[in-house]
Amino acid sequence: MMQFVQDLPKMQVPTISQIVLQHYESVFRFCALRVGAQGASDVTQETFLTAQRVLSNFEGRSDLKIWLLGIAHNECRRYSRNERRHPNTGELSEPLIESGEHTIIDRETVRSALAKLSPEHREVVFLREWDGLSYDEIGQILGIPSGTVKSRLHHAFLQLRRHLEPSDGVKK
Amino acid sequence: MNLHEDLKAYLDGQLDPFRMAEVEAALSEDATLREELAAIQRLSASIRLAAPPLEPTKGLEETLAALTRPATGRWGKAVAWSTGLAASLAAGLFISQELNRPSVSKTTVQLSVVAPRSPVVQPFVRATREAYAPEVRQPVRPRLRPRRSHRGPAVVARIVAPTPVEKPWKDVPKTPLAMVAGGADGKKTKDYVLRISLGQRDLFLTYIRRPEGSRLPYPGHPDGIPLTEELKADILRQAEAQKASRYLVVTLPGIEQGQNLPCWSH
Repeated sequence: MMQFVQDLPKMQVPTISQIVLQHYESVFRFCALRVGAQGASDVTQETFLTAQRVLSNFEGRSDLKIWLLGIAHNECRRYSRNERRHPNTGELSEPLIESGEHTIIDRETVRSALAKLSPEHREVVFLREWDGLSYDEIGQILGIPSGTVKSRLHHAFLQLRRHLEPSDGVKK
Repeated sequence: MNLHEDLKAYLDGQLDPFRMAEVEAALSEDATLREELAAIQRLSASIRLAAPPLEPTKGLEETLAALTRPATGRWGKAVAWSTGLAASLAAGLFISQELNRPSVSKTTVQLSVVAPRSPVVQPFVRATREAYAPEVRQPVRPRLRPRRSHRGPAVVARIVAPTPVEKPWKDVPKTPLAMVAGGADGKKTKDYVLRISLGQRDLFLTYIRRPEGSRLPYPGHPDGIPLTEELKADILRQAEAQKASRYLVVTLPGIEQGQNLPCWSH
């Protein structure tokens, strides 16, 4: 009636060089979206230097990439504080993009609406929509429960819709 | 629970199978809800399109080089300062010992009397003795920053079923120990779901109520089987027997061994 499954083999943590080679691109992209291309390489390097120092603390309770993105998230915040910068909302301004039956809102309008969100709400939107992370992964990076991620996303989208579609009749 | 609050999570596929089914059922009946979902979908697509263009990756070689160098930057400076301070203290210890030796010249003896009393030297000598005198205690390396502990949730382990199971299994409930089971066909599991959660020693059994009654259909039993108290008790026994295990696997009547479905545990 019962069937037991043996535990997974214990995870082996790779060396820092292997980690860099495997995850540099993801971390760089994550940082570039937040601090811009100019600061991204510096922040990415700081991320891996921090990771090297605390690698012994990594217990394998989360995915290595998510653990690195958590460090990168803190480094980006530190960088933004030091440089008195805000998350990069880009400079592009493009016309409306038609997609099937739906009209996609133009980038500049979306970015200005994103800029009006609180940092907490904006960050979960970025992590979900730009980085494509699951609620669990976002929760691990920000140190919050996935239920809070869901709630923040819901409220962030409510606010965005109010900014972008004032006549839409958004419901709570 | 407010369905509107779950629409975004539904769109992202982040709800548990039960809630997914509930939201789907509500969507099929409520046109306003469908419109709202479409609006969220449009906004989501717009945000994704608003992402800045991908930047070419830079700085990989520099990072690899920096990782192989000795500590530099702000931490390197901290280490250098610590080393310098330690060297100064050691030198101070050596000098104070030399000054207190009996077989030194008159000038040195005078210095040994004067030096420990000097307000400038006293704290220095005291600190040196406290920190570095081996008979007192070994020097303790200062912690430069409080150790940070990783606060993420426990690892979610997955047992791969012999039969490939599709996405409905990806996002499982976050209970301490949970199993989601259903048909071996992953596409059907969304409709026929059995969940056993063992959190704080409470086990509860739930299922999607079908129009034809409270039955649990799955392969081999097209009409389903009644969820009797006996079946519940049997599942409870199996779950209790395995509560110390990292994984929970329950065999249900009518399902072959090979059809056992994956479960996740925290």
